[in-house]
Amino acid sequence: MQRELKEQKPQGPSINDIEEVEEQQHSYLVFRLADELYGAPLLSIKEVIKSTTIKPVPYMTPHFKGVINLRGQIVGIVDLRLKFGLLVPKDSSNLILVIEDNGDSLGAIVDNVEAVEEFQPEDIDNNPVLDTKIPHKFFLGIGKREDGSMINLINVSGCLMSDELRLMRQRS
Amino acid sequence: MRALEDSGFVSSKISLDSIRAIFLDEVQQLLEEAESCLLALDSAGTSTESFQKLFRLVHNVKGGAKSVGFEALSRTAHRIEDVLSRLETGQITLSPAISSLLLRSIDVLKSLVSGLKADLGFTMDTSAIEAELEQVFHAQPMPDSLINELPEAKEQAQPSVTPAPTDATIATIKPALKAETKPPKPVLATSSSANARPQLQNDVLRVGMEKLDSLVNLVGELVVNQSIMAKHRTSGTVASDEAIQTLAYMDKIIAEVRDVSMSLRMIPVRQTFQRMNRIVRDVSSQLGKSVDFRSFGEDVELDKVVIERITDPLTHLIRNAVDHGIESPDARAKAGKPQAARVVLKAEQRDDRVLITVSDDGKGLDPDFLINRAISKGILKEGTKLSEQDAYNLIFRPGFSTKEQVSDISGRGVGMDVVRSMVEEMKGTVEIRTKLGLGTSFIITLPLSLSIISGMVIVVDSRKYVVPMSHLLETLEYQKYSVETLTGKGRMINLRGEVVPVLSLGRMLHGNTPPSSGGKRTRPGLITEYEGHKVSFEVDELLGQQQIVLKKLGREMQGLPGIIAGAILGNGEPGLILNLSEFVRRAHAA
Repeated sequence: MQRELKEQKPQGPSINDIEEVEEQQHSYLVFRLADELYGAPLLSIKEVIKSTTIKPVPYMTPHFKGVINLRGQIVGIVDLRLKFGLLVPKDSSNLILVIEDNGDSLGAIVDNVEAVEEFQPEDIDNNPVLDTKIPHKFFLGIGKREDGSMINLINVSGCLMSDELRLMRQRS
Repeated sequence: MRALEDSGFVSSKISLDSIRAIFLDEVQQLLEEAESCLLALDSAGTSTESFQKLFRLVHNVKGGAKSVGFEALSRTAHRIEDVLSRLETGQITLSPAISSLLLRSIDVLKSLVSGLKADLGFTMDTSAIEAELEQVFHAQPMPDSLINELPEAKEQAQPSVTPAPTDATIATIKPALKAETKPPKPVLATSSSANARPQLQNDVLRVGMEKLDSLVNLVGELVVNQSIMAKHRTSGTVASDEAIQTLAYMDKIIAEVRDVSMSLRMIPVRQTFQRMNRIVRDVSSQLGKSVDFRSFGEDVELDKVVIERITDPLTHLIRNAVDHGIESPDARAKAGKPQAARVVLKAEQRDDRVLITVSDDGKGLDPDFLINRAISKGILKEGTKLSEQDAYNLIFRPGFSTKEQVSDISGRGVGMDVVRSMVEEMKGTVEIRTKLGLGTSFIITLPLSLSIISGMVIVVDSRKYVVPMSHLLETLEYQKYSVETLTGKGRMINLRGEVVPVLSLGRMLHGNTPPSSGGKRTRPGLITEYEGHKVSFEVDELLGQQQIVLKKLGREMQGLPGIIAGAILGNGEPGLILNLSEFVRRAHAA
């Protein structure tokens, strides 16, 4: 009896929630980094905000730009363009994708957000792409858009969350 | 329960779980009270009133456990109740042995409850402790001489185990004791529950009604004044005298809201101190030392999280005091000291911080011994000479404790360096004061609150940082002092007769070389104290003292040297809080 009691979850998603989530699994946020387009799974992105002043933090890697105050929470910001080795246009007003995973939040600077598009599994090409700074582990494939163009689909959330952003200084 | 399910109440299973969860929280409270009652009985002597109170507490545990279906809990509580009823009527007298048994029974209950809190299906074998309690209930008091004769009792790392049998029943007792010397179950594996990780009282807290009422009233006031301001906004009179006055009033209300809401998380140190009482009792009897434990300032309040986190360091200090600080009864007699050693635990509040002191009148520390040990461990070079205070501070260096010192009692791999880093993580400090032959004191300083601190905002290389006021001794203007450079030792100033090194925060944080020490710009500095010595830090600007809201830093920023937390400054900017002690250490190590 006790075992039964344990397994039952008092609150779960309703039927409607589950359907919505399933629909969104194939949705990707299409954003621009420099002159390239990328897509990230929509569900991994908590929100998109306008870039604000970023306070730098010492002892971190160059692509970790610093922190912002997001409604009372301190969120670290990474420049995806630097991370992927792309040219950073000077002084562009850009956007920040806020990613949340297990209570931890991180922000990623992108140049622009273009659209939300759906890519069904059949629209995704899994041939490995060579010569890119995107770690293979987080490369989800190449998405074929309606107009025939192709974009890189990346697991941005996984990529950022697993990144070692601290400069490992020797502690004497 | 079956009836409920069959009747088709879909939510019945859920409510039982939540009732059980509520019960478990309440019963933890009851058990803590019961333990302090027992400890009080132990030291202050018995009275029918205290027995009655204890009985009532255990009775409530028993009844509640039964009604929500926790059988083992209820049964064990019942046995305790039985023994208590005998004690109340005087059929049994409270001996140290019985007192220990009762304390251990409460430990069992506590372990059972914390196991259940994590998993409602948790089970634990309580037959051993129940058997012991039953023995006491059914038997007559046993003379002390016989208690000492039972060898199995001494073999275990437990205070005198014996229940109270007669001559005739010794035969049945010995097998029961043998049963206990089997590999102990997790519950009884340690000499007291205080050895085990203290359970985090996780997310439930008792709060006084007046605090809540006060908060509700203040928020009410805010709502009223906010609607007044809203009217001003629509009629465009936001700059009027009335509006300004209303805003000023709101300032006051908000300051009070801040104070009250911070105080919600504060609880008195009493419970933690009582846990320390228990530890002293257990360790001293384990080692055959006689210790008189005194505590002061039990009403002083600290943030709940600080209290949880200070328990481990305090436990280590207390154990150390009894284990290593206090001499054996023979040594004390030879030194002309009273047989009963003194261990004092004191909490005092000073401005925005709390001082917790652990003192003993034991043998103190020998600076020469410490220096030699440090040399043999490779921490110091051969022939190094140190001042007494510097020698005492050696114990905080990593790697200083040897295996002999880190015994099972004070050990668990916790050295003094870990104690210090735990305290510093809470933005506190720990200092040692000791005298060979007289005793030792450890003084832990902690900020009152974990969420809002008083901080000095500084600018280093155009970036803002915050230094907790509790770390700052004073600020100064380098202009007024001549900065000397000594080869091999770096820059120094003479601060009212004391030689104080000058460190550059800019260089340590950003790798920038400090600006040349000429020019008319003011060059402010911060002075902090580390291990009894003053150290100064050069900064670019001092922006002033502020109330700083502390914020957690993300996982990716954990462990950055010298940066202990994030902050939101007065103007909403994010900032970083520095731990100056860490920078001093880095400078020394370089």
